[in-house]
Amino acid sequence: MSAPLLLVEGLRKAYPGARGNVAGEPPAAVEDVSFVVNRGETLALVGESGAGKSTIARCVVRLEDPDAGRIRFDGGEIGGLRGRALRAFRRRVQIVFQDPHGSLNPRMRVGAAVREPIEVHGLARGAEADARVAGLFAEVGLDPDYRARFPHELSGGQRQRVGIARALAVGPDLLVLDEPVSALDVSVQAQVLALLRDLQARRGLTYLFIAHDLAVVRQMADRIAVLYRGRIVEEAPAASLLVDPRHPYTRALLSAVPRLEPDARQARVRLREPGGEGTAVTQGCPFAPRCPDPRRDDRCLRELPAALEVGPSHRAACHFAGKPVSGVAPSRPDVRG
Amino acid sequence: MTALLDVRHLSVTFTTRAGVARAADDVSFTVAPGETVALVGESGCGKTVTALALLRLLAEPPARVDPASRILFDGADVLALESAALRRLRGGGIGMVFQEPAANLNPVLSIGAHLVETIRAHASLSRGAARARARELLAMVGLPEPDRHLRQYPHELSGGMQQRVLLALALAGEPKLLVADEPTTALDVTTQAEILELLDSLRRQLGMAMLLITHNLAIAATVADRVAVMYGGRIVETAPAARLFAAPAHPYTEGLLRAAPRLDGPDRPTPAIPGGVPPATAWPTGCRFRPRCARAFDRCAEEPPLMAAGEGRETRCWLAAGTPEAS
Repeated sequence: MSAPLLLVEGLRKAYPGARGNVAGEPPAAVEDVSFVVNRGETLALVGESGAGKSTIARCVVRLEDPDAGRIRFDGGEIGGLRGRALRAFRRRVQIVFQDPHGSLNPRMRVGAAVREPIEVHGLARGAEADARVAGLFAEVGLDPDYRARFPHELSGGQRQRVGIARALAVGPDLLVLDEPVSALDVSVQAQVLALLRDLQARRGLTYLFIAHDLAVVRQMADRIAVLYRGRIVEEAPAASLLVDPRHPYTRALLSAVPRLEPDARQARVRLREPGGEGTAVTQGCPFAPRCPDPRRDDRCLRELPAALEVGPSHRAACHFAGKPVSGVAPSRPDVRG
Repeated sequence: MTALLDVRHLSVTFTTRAGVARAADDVSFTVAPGETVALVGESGCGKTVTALALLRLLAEPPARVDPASRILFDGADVLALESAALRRLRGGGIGMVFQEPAANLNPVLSIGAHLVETIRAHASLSRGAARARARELLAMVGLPEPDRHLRQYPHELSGGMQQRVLLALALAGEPKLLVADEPTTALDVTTQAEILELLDSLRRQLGMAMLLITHNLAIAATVADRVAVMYGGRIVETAPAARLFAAPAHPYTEGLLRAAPRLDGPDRPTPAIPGGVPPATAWPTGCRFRPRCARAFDRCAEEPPLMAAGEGRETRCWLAAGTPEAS
């Protein structure tokens, strides 16, 4: 395979002094994050709140500048881009946010919202721009008559289709999808996910797919990277990660997903410090305070685990990732209590 | 067994600029003592309006509860209660927890102040005795250091801990029924699993019944004895949980089950239900699911009643009428 379309290396971003307000959490910090996304594939970044998923997304599309590390897109460093080069980058990398209600101008008709980037980037004007907008609406499964509507006149699923059309308007290669379906109902969620898969196949798009829901991720991703408190703790092809998770956090996350069969009230991996979101650590493994693995020892509290190669393209940052839990097959969640 | 909660023909409308929204329409269900019933559906199906109506928490106007509606709780006619009796019911007979724990805690009151106030509203206890009871409640909901938490303020706690505090508040009046409206939707998945487990174990331990409102079928499958699926302001199917998930009778339930992403299901998204939910001001005539239903036929132009389909199941679908032995 050719060089990766996106390469992130040693990314660090902190928000010193950020407190957030009464309602919100401060943006999550990211520490030494590295990954690649190859052309035409989907890499999913999975994690809970505070894991740093959105911070990474914002750095990749250059809404934020990292404190350290580099981000290369199609071979070129994005950090130093200015002027025309930056505009060209923005045409090739687009982002779709979770809440299309918040990212669309409430006073702009949605047709104009999709047309805007076409004009800003000078891709088409007049009747040609109109035709492109109509084509984009049809492509995302919206009746072109909807162009004259305002965002509040659309359902959540329709608004998200508009958000996707707007991102596609400039003909990008990479789409960063930041929780694109978490605000949608189940029936609509499936429609939008299917649309995203179709678009990827049809247009040869590359996706960086950010989500907290492993069941959704499983339907979208070729590879999955699991984040915990700003660090990637495990990364693998989707099938290996789901079948043979090696990091205790990944195992806990998988076991916490509620299952549909009432009989499969599965043995859940119980974390230490229940009720909390886990104590922040300054040294050692970030997951150590909550880690339920019986093998957890002093070393976990002292020494940050390096990513171990545990299988083909499968890495896990746990001192014990290479060794199966004694008496339990590695594919089984570690069951306690 | 006599039902603890018996909701009959509950209808709630809202007058909006777009017309009259029939948010809950002729909703009937029961909850037996100690039973967990899940009310499941997507946004706009009427599940939250139904929950709020139980405690008469809907502002009237704009809401209007149809006079033919009956809500019987533990023998009392809820819709006819005077204000003093209604206060005793809220938090006394029926406790409630909501989706956004932070929005339901007062940011300038300590956790202790919340609990002491609530405890003393339900029982004539001294401050000291109420504080002791508060400590007990916090321990019961699994907060590790009750004494420290009593002095803390809501913003010092994580979302999961805040939800445990709300649960402690809901349990202060020793309710017979806990109404939990999307109690874990705002929480992370690992925290969600902890809270669901806690709800279930407290329910058993205290002999409470629970009405769980959720959009998440898998959550219903995890904790409920019986499930009622709502669509378009109506209950479209109700069945024992195991039967509902093993063999859904209503095409909407079936579609939802197929569309829900799961770890052990298809590895491609399954858009099993086309279109979206119409606004409550403009439900389709006939069966409200008809425009989205792949199995609709002529008879669906007439709205089906909720029909018994055997083994404790009811479904609002003409397909069940043709096959008396629906299983």
